[in-house]
Amino acid sequence: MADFPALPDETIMFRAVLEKSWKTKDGKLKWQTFKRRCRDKDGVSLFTTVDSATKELTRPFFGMASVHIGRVRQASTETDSIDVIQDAETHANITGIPYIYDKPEDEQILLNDKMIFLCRRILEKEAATLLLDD
Amino acid sequence: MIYNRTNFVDTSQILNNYVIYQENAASPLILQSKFSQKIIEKRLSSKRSLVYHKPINNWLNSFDTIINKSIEDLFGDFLTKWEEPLSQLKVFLEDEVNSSLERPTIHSVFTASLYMFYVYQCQPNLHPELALSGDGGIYVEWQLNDKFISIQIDRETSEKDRVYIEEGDQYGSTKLTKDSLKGIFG
Repeated sequence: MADFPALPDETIMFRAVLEKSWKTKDGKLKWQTFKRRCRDKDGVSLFTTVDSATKELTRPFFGMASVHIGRVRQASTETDSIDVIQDAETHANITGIPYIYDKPEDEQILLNDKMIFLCRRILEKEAATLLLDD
Repeated sequence: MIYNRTNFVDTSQILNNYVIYQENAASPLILQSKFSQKIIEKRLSSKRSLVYHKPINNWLNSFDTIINKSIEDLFGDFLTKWEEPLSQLKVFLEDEVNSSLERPTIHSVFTASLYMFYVYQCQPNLHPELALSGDGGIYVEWQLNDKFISIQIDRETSEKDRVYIEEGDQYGSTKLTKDSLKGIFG
């Protein structure tokens, strides 16, 4: 895998909204947009352009969010570092959101709480805006 | 309508899918639906009912008791005042989802409606936001003053249901029960 330089804070990337109920009726994103799912082993996917996202995603999606990388990083806390790491020409991952699926049950509960908190924090930092609605 | 889906018609499927509700038969969504009537009809017409094992019979009996009362007696204005979020639950069952996500289970939809009713009893004007978890479960969420509250309904077992509370930088979750909700919303 090629190494990519660190993304500048001012970079804008794009995140597909995979489910209709992950946005409010008045067009705001919900924290679930950034939820790390079982398949998200390396992190939460972002794309460099809307075109690259739509090309990559063969399944239907329900909107596209623009994501400000510097503000995502601001969602870090004293104990949890949130970053965005580019891993391909058109793709990057938000890292630092807990991956709960390979952990024991007790730990899963704590990590799940942390996941919700950090995903909501990303939105509180105004790091993401719904750009294209379905 | 979801009630026409073929898996609702076969009695054995119904029992397989719903035996877990023997304790929670008062799910408002069940009672709101014609589905409950279908169960009763099935039961009356089925010669197999005598050989059902005890928990299943208890569960079916609980429907008889509840159906004898009117829905209004049981739920007051809940079904009308919270029509919108309840309808959204039904839509969850019907709507196409992105194929990388899992459709919510019947269990999670009915459990969500039951917990929504408990919250309605404490905060009748506080409509929830609903969201799919993507793995068969459902989130039911509220902003209550400075608190963000998220009920997490598991896809298959109420043992895993949690209620997450966040206020400022403080957050955490506890096991989801009727009493825990009363403590938060009451």
